[in-house]
Amino acid sequence: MLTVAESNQAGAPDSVVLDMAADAGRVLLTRNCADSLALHEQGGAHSGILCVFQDPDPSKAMSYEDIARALGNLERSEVPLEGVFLALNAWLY
Amino acid sequence: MASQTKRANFEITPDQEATLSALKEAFQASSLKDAILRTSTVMLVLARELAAGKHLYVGARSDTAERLILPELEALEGGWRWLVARPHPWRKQLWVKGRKLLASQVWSDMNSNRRTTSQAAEDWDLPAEAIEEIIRYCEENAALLALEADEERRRLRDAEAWLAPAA
Repeated sequence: MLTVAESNQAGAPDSVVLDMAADAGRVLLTRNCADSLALHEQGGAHSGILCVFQDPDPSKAMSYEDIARALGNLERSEVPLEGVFLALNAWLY
Repeated sequence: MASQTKRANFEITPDQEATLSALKEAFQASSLKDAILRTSTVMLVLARELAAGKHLYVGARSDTAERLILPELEALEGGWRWLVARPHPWRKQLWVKGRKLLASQVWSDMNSNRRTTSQAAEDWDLPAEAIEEIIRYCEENAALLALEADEERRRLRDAEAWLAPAA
């Protein structure tokens, strides 16, 4: 795993971060769902985008543990992620 | 009495020169200096009004006027120090200055992980003062943040990104 801050891209535009992830063959995990979706819909190649939706209901908001569990569920499902955009919230069970 | 003046010199790019020329024309100013000074007066008035919590609206009629967002001035609204407005197709909430980070992202993350102010400051590499401001902003604008979250969820559903995993 590599964070945006670790790669010195903390203030970089979403498109730059996505391109960097795509070049490295990494799946992008982001909280900025709408803007990432807009980039995905532009049709560029990427290795997968997983977004964490901010549920306004605090009881449904995903904690770090929830995110890790959802990622585990998604990984075990073996769903192909290449070029796919998914809301990770749906994988929390 | 002799006037006291100073000479002000600064380098400008061709783009900036074109902007200043357009400004001079828009104000029908006699010189660049006159255009800059008149613009400064206007901007100071606007900045003071926004800093006092007022908003700018434009329109042909008062009942159809729409709020005008000027990012350079919007950052002053409400006296936010660590937050700033940015042009966005539909979001109006403020962003953390210098970061590609919405105020609500920090707030939501704090709430869902039960992080204290100092823990959040460490998580996001921000001063505690910035975290306190984010909390205050989000609490004061909870209705706006909820509507923006609804809009985001609608967009995800429309794009079928909200697919439940296969049973």
